[in-house]
Amino acid sequence: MRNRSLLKNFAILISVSLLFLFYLERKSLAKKEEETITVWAMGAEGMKIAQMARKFEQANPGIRVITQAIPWEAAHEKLITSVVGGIPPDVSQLGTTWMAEFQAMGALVPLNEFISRSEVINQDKFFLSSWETNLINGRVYGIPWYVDTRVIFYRKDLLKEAGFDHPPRTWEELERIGKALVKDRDGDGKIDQYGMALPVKDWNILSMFIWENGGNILTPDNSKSDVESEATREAFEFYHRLFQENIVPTAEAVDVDLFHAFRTGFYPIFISGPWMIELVRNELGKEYEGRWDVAMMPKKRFPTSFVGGCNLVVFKGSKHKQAAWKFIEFMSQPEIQVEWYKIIADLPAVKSAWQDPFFNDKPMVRVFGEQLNYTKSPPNIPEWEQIADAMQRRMEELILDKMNLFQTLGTLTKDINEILEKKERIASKGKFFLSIGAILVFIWGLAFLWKRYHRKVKEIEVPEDGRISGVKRIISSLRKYHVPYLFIIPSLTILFVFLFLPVVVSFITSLTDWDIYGLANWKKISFVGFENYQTLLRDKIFWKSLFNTFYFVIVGVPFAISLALLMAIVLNEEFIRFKSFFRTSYFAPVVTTLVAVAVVWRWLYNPDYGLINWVLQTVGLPPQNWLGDTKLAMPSLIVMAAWKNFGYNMVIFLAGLQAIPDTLYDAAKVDGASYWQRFLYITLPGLRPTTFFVTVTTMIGFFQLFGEPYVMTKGGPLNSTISVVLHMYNQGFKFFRMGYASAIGYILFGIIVVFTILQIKLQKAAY
Amino acid sequence: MKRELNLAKILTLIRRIFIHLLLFLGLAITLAPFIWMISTSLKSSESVFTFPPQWIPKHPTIEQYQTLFREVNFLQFFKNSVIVAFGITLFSLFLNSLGGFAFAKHKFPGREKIFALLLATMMVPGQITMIPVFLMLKTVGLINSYWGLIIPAGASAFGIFLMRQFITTIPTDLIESARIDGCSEFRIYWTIILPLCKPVIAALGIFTFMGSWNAFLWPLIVMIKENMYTLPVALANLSGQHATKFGLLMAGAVVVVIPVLIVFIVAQRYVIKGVAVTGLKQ
Repeated sequence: MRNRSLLKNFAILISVSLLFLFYLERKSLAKKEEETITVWAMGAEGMKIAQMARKFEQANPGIRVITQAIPWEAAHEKLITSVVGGIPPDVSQLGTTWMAEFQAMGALVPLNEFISRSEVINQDKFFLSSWETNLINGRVYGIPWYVDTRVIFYRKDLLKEAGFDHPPRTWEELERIGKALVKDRDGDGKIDQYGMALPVKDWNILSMFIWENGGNILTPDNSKSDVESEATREAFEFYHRLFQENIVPTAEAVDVDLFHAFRTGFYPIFISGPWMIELVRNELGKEYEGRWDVAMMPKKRFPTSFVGGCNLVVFKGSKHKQAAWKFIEFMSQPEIQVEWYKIIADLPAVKSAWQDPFFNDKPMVRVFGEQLNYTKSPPNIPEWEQIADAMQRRMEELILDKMNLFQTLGTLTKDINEILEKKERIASKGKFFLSIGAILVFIWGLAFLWKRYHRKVKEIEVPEDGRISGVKRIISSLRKYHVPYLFIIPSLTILFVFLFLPVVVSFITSLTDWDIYGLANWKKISFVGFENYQTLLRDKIFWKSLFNTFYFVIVGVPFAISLALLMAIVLNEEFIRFKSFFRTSYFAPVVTTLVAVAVVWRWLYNPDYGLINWVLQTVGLPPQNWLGDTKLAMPSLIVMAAWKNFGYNMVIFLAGLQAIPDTLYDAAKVDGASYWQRFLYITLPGLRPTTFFVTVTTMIGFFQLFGEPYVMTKGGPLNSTISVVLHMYNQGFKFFRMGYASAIGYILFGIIVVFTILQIKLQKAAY
Repeated sequence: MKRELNLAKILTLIRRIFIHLLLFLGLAITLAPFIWMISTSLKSSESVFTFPPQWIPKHPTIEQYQTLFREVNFLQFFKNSVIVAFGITLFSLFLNSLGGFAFAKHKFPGREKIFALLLATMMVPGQITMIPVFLMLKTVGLINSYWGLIIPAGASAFGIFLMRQFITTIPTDLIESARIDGCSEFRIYWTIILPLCKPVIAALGIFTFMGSWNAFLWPLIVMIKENMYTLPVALANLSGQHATKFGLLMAGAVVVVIPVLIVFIVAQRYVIKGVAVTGLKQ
């Protein structure tokens, strides 16, 4: 009877609280059950897409579209977190170069089936190269929304002056015209009209030249570098030659304003995208109307340009895939594509949209339409960003003559192949066994620590049935003592799952290459031994964060503690009235939300209107750019942290002060000891245990610095306030490099343990 | 002799003045940011940027609060924070007191060892558990839900420890006589132990509430969609998006801070005593 009512009470209590919470959660989700789709768009598109969404709703009653504008800077991060959290939008705009990455994450729905049933969408209606940006391993993962390509902008008048009545149509012409254009107009010995502008490091533009010659960066199966092939080598050579022959300048390129250079003729030719038409027209003004034009890229074998732009994709988490697809179909109609161009000047991805009479009087835009038939896109692999980065680095070295062509292509081949093979290179069998060994040693270490620790624990006497043993004994004791076990099981389970287990799992994770792809597919995770820790040693930002954290602790802890001690001593004076009022006021910052405090202090530190600079100015000191100066940012955080924390330690110090017996002071007074002597020989020694406690807890807290820099500086300026935990957060929850972030966490844990032990040793030595 | 006495008196007086100066300087420094926060939050977006600063707004307005609740959806964030903070507080008080009762008043094999192990978890820092717990919650689909915040915070070694310490002081005779009367163990817990534990439950409850109301890093990780943000996360997000709309940001800060300050002022005695006691224990 007793047991039944116990269980019954348990069941009722737990189920009621569960129901209550579920109710609250359901209630907030209930609204979403209608046919509503969420569409994310970025930057300028994000601002305008709502107009198209309203049109879509009119055409498709019953479907509601919620549009969300995501700034480009936050787009990648937002998309990734939403995918990892399993709550992505239904439809999103996705840059062509992001397709492979999100596909590898398993985030995108293959659209082949939808396409096969669609009347609006099929491959032939789109520009082939733009369509291909959606093609991964033979499946289609998105539909082109708008496209973007590059053409030549040139000064007609200057070319005519040099004797050419047409833009460069081939590489030979480009070189010839370029040479003819180079001039020193004012005769000061310095060239003030070059042949053209070309970037020193831009994989986009260089790739176009490679493709024009029929070359490639990777082999057709994307498994190896192909930059040493003849066609690609020729393209590198040609591109480099334009610099060598001084048709293109190297040094000035960075600091010249392009519009100014185009107007003055410093750069009579440059390569750019569709948005430039309007900009150049506005910047150069009427007077230059008709003196410049655009033209397709010059050809070697093909007049190839680069294709970019954005696709529309459906996410795997979507519950309204059909409605999402309808939205994409809607956006792919030629009329809608033209309309979208009118709103935002994004080039239509649908070929037939270009036949619209709207484009008849826009010859320059039509050149882009023409060019789109001869375009290519970079390989659709998640490693592309890294390869592009390597390409730009080597390209710069070649152009600045730090390496010759032969060396450049050799090292680039090595770079690219290494990037492509990295996965296999890291995950070797040896690493696997090393990792397993490390895990075993780790678990053994934990067990060893526990054994040493629990030997000191004396078990209470419990009457035991001596005759039975082993499993039977456990079962019988469970039966006999099931009440207390039932009472402790819920909390023990939580502590085990969320505290004990993670200590081990975190260590195991730190020995793997668990990243965003591993989150999507467990098979992509492999053991890499101590690779993460080795990478950490080479990670400059990690060292910086470590330095900053130590700075914060070593300067901040003594500062905060002495402040607390000072105020405790002041408050401990007998003659002070309203003690509890002061104590409560000083304590208020402690209980105040850190984020709110950080936001308020960001306002106090504001260089122009902040309170702190006002105080400085009223006492005649110069104002400072507190959070914007690399030297001042960290001290500013320290001051704020001390303000927030001193009340806590002050209360502990006060308790410590009151624990010092009055008789000691009385005796000292009788002996004629001065105030300072009493402070030095009674108060301070009496506070030693308190100081020790306060130092250790404050230090542990300060080592975990995160909220202040996250809210106030985001780790800047120039990483001067990035902390270890912030770095870990960025790696773990922005880039989802779980293995790497775990390694950072363990290192920090190690540092904290070492410092705590050091403190304990010091404390013991002092007695 | 008299002269010396006077000198001593003057010295004491100077010391007292000095100490009072420190006292009020400290008060000004602690309270100024709060006053400035409230003052700024009552200014219109244009009058925020005036120099020298106005302590009392010339034309006080609540337009920032209106924007906050109408356009930024702070009511939803407030609701989330309330659900999470109360959920954690109630859930953990229940589990911790139950556990504390078992450890204090029941005998069972392994009791001391389990308790010792429990205390060891107090040393595990947050940044170690962050990633594994995130991965676990993701696997069971609790990311972006209230449960993802409530369950991991449902028990704490410190809470169980505190409850056990307190319950140990309750006379065992009381429990024994209830047992003889045929009371179930759960009933004993519910009708005898809990009412007697009011002071410690109040203290622990207040600390848990303030801790979960103010928590930032973990809600930032777990709550991915904007409509699930708790107040601190929402405020940090607002501060990232509208870095210079200080009127709005201060209004947001006021909304975040006021509830916790009220709880603190009402229960300050418990809070300060609690802190002082943790310090003395060591």
